[in-house]
Amino acid sequence: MTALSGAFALFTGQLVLAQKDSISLQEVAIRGFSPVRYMAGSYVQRLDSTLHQQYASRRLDELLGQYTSLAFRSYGNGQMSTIAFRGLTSSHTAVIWNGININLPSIGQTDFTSLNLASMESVAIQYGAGSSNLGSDAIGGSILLDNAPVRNHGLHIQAGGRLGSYENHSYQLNARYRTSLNDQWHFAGKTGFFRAAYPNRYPELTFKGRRLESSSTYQYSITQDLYWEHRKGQTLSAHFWFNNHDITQRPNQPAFREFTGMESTRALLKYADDKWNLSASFVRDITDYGTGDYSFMDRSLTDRYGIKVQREWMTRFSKSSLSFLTGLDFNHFRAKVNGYESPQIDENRADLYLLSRWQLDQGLVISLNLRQAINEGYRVPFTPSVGLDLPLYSNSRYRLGLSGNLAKSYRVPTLNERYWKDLGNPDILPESGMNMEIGLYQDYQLLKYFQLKTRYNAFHNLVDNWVYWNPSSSYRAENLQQVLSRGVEFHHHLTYHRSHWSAGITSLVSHTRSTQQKAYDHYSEEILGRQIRFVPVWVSNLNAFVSYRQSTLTLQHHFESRRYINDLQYLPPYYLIDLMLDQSLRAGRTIFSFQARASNLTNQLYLNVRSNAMPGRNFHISLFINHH
Amino acid sequence: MSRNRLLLLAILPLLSGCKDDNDQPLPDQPYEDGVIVINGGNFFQNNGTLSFLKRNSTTAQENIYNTANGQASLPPADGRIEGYSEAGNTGIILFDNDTPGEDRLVFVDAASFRKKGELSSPNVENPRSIVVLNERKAYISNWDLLNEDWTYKDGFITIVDPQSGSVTGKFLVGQGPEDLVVYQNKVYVGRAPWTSHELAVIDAETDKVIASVTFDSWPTPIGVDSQGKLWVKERNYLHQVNTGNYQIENSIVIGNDENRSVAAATLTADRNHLIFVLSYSGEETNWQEVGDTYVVNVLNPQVTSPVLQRVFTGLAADPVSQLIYGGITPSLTQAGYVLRISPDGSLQDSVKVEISPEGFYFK
Repeated sequence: MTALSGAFALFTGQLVLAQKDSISLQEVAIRGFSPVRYMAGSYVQRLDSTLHQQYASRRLDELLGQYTSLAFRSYGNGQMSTIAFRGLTSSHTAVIWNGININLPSIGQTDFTSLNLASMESVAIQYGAGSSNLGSDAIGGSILLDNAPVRNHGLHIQAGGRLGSYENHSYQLNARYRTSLNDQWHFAGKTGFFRAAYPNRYPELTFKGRRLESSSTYQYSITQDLYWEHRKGQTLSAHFWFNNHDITQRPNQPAFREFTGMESTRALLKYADDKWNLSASFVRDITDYGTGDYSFMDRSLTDRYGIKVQREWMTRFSKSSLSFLTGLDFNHFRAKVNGYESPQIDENRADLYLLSRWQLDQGLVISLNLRQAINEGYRVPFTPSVGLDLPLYSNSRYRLGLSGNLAKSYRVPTLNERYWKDLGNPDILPESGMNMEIGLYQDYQLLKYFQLKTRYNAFHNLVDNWVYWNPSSSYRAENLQQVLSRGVEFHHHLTYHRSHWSAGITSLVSHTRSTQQKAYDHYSEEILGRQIRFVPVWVSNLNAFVSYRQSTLTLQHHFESRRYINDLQYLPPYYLIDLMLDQSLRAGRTIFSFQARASNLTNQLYLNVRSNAMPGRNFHISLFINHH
Repeated sequence: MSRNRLLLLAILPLLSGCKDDNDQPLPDQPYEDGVIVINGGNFFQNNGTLSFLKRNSTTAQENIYNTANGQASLPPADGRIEGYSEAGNTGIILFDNDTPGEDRLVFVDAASFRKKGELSSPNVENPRSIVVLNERKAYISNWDLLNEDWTYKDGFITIVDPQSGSVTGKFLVGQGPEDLVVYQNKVYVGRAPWTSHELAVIDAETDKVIASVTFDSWPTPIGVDSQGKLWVKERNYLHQVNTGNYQIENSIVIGNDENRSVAAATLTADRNHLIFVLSYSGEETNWQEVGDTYVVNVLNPQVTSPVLQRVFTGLAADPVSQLIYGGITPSLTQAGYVLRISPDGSLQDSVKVEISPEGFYFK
């Protein structure tokens, strides 16, 4: 275990045994009161604390792009980055923060560059449809972000910063604390501040003949979590997360500059015990857009007020247990958007669900989940799902299991799709999906020092009533497409540990075909069977590390095959190689962690979704101090 | 690298220096004789391209500008292409980039399409159309940057010298200058929708606006016919303008549906006929452009039944083959087609090109 990971283990209070698993490839047995526990047959990949520490000063899209099978659509270095999960678009991924969907209600998606690792303690990726458990948007998959209290008593301070090429930098300060109030109650919390800047001061205007777009991004976030925990299990918690994210294109040209400012305020109050889970939430998202002298700013303001009530029952039999979770999730949306037909839009949405989990003898788990959303103005498809985890064989050195899942899913129309002046369509239908998947997982203990974990998945996801801003009808929102996404994922993770040495290789390879299935006029027959825009067929990540005592060297390789811009033109395939050196030093109760990183080591030209160049070879150093 | 290869590289310039250049035939230039198809591309994707089509071929060479300039493997990213024309051995491409300040006027060698130079902001700002006056002079119409509230400023004409690749002048010409037509050293300037109702007339000798013709809405000049009359389209009207006194001599209403308007239009190569699209898009058509194509005789402009029941995103007449070239755009994300049509409106053949074929240059 490096000092670095050790520090984080102390810091988070989690039991990190060593730098052994950079990534967990198996189904995660999520403890506690969570709908994910009822997703038998789904592949849930949790990114562990070591990675969290290694990427502490970086954006969530950078971490997910390298350690999962997800593809991202970047609009430039530090600019917007949206997700393409299993061949679908950015609005087909639910982003869930402590149980709340935080996709912008106006556009139904999240800019992942606005999410930093410093603001969360846990990141998990649930592959495939999850609407029966998580609600709207969970068609391609879901990103689960959670906060958790530190378990060790006392004050834990983390402070650090990163400096990189083009004067890009970030710094952060996190304080986590825990104390006993009396012999019954504990109090814990976290206060955090994060600041990142991407002025992108490139020495040249072009890279290998292609334009490097001039842009700057400044972001800061404040997090505040408070927990009151009773020794019998009741927990009352309050969570606050404020995020400000300003992007300016061409900042040095006042006549031509273009500003997009995003501000998100998220507040959540939760109560949980072994039967009940109650929460009240408020999310406000403000987007301002202006050009030139900013004398006229377009504003989009959406508020979301939510109440969630969940009740869980569990019955144990001699060799099995049966759990039920039923819930009501009610949300009121209020939008004030310059481009809408009305100055203020109000919309109510409610979800009723019943989740069940039956754990039988020898680890067999079956789940059956039912969900019905009842929304104002349109009918939402009923979304059941059924799944199972089936252990096939196990002994002391080997484990083999099979998982399968069949799930309906849905995405309700975004507010823009319904209410945008002239182009929106109040009668637009929700999208509905049907996802089938099967997975095979193995866990070997090889020789004495090696461990190999593998996970293979195959999926088939058909999405109907796909909403399309149709360029042939002046970009009006229409339910014009049916899209089929199908593919396979091969995840391998080999680790070696001996004495002070450890090493590992993680290989994540996915093949996804995502195509339009139905034609809506005779010309569109030509595009049937063509890959959906900006979705690479192949995504491959390779991460290799070798570690000795408190030093770790990590080599990363990322490959994406061509991404079509339209039916004729495409962004060429590319690969990237990064190299990182982590070094830690302990001095009493303080651990100093240093990282040096070279990105795009081979100086490759690769393009963002606007067909402009991304930066060539660039360098970063960071220093963190953890004190307990 | 081996020593032998190094040696070969070292003496190659010497060997080539020994040859008599006059003995060497000039290599074939790829784009000397044929039709340049202007594929505008999609909005906000900067992916306009030029295709090259030989007159006897039904296969187009795609993306010739990027290919000639070492970017064949990369997608186009310069902008929508709003115009292409040639002055002597220089081609001029108008790129309208969705990023303010990134619009470009690019000069290329007209035979190879290799880039020779470029002009940018503030000389080029939302460029719309080009007309070549002679080898040393061309006009480019520009909207200029739009105001913060998306209204139009007064647009301008940039005067360029294609041979030197430089700007020689610039003058204001009112809101939304769009299509340009030149006739007898006078340039007629059309207008973008929702802008000025004035058709400006510029004296190309003095570079001054000498007259303007007022219409009920925004006019677009089409061309000057064999009788010296300028044809102008405006909503569902076709007007004939006297090019001597700039008076509207005749106005023809096309059909009785005011929701339809004259879209793509061109004179035939002999300038005796006008071929045009009358079209409409609205909720009933799912916002797709629908309509028909008509042919009228300029001497007896009676509109009868359509010759083709389809619309085009661009029409132009080939002075060599006399055929009409029409652009078909199924959508802004897929390949378009060029239909070759005889002057009477009968279809000859079709060629697959790139996204949104909107204009043609015949050489």
